[in-house]
Amino acid sequence: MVPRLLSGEELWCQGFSETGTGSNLGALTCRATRDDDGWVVNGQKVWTSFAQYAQRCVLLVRTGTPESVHRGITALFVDMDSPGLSIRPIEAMHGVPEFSEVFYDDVLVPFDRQLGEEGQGWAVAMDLLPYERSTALWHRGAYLHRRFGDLLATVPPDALSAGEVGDAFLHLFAFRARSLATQHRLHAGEHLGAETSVDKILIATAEQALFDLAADGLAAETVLGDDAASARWRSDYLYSRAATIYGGSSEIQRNIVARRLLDLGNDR
Amino acid sequence: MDAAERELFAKGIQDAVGRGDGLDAALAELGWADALAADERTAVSVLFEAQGGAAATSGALDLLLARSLLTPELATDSGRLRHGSVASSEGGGVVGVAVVLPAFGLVTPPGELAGGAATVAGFCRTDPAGPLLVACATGDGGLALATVDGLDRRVIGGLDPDLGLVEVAGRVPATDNRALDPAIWAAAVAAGQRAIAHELVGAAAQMLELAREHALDRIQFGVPIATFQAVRHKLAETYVAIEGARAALDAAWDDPSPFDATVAKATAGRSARLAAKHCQQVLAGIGFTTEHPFHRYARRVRALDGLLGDTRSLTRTLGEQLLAQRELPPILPL
Repeated sequence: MVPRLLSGEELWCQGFSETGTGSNLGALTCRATRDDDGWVVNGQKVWTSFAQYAQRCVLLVRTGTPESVHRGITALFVDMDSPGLSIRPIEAMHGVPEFSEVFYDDVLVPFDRQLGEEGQGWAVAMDLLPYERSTALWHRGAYLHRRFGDLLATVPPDALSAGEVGDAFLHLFAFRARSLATQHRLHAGEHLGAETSVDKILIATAEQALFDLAADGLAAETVLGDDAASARWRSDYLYSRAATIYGGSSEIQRNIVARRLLDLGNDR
Repeated sequence: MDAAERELFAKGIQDAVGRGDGLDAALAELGWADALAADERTAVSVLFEAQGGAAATSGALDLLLARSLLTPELATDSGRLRHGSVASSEGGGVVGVAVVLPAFGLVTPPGELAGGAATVAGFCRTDPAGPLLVACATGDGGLALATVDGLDRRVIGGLDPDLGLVEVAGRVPATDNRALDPAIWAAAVAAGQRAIAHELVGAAAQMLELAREHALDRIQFGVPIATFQAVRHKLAETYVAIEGARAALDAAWDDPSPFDATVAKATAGRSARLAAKHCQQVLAGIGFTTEHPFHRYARRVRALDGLLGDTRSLTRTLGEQLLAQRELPPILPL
């Protein structure tokens, strides 16, 4: 399976968030019950990025009691063309159907498509997320670097204050320096954990600083332009609004930093 | 240095810094100048972070700058080194020399050389006992390294009297002037900026630790204030800013260019400002008194920020460069 993903032949998605559980992932309610042939899944997921294009999904389902929180979650590997599975794309603010609602109506998932042990789905998800916050963020950082260069090449003289340009650059540099070290740690086989929340906060800050700057320096293009280049600045600006929300909001990341990295104990 | 040597060295430095007064003597005993010659990154990062963390000060910046400015042939030049308090240690480090820093907030050379006299307006990190090394602009647009004596001195009280900065100024005869390669001056500024950035990070990390301890100890509404998200998030933001500065500093060592050093200094200064703001708020009443050590760090980071380019002007200059180039240079390849 993995070679198909790596070659680009297949796209996979992550079925984590639900309508009632965005930040509070441990409370998810999409349910799987045992049948003779496998798990039978019923429920709904949302914010599943590019589900409408994906062939498979890593799906988190509740297999324990509703009160079992983190301990009652199991990870399944689901074919997106399974009977009973339906997908409704959602158009995001920047005009792209970035994610979907996915409905599961008696979807049968064979037992050999269970990832890890029953009840260990939370660990599977927690192992996946730091990878999202390492390689995927580095990739996003490379895009931000390119768009920063585009902005400098395009912006009219005196449209931006040098201080703000320098400040946005410092944010991007700090993220890139941090993420560089994270890539090297990943390459060395180190376990990535809570410290990748720092990377996520840094890139969200850098991304919004950059496109705030672009929306100021190229204000007419962003607001009024209908050519392709203007549409792209507009799209980047609007998409950057979600940088502090997706993949664990900045508030959740700060909760992780506070509890796990600063050892401040539990919050109220 | 290998990991074990580094740990031993760090422990020695921590002890020396923790003892308070007489840090310079302790550093001489520890052989910091030799460590600097052997492994600049370890010597600088360990000492300056510890110094920042203890709000201590020393003449180490002078040694570092002198070492950068005095190329080997200048450093062993007998005429130059004998007439002052300058002496060469066994490890090739330069001991006892004072270097004039640029005027507060700036990175431009602190002197101007014309007609055999130097006009100087700058700072010394410690009270200079003998002649001073001053980087000077010359009339022909070049740079020279001059040795001067007899400048007016003012020991600075100001916001942070414990830092012991000394303002030096005046027009005095300049002897023993040598042409200074602008690249060597830029490398010396970069070395100093990395050191001050480490000191800022050390001070910021200590402010965070003080605020963290207070948040866990201070009980209000029957619970530690560390349980309140408003408090936790301030501390988390501070932590993230400090980690960002540490990462930028690592990058500035991996590529010891003036550009990366400037970025690291500006980032460290920005994180220290944020730390001062957030930690002051978390420490609240007690942090506003001189009975709690916080105020020493709040003062220190403001004063350090002005050495070798303050955050605001470095950031603005960086932005001006980028806007003039109209492109973003490649940074930090994988």
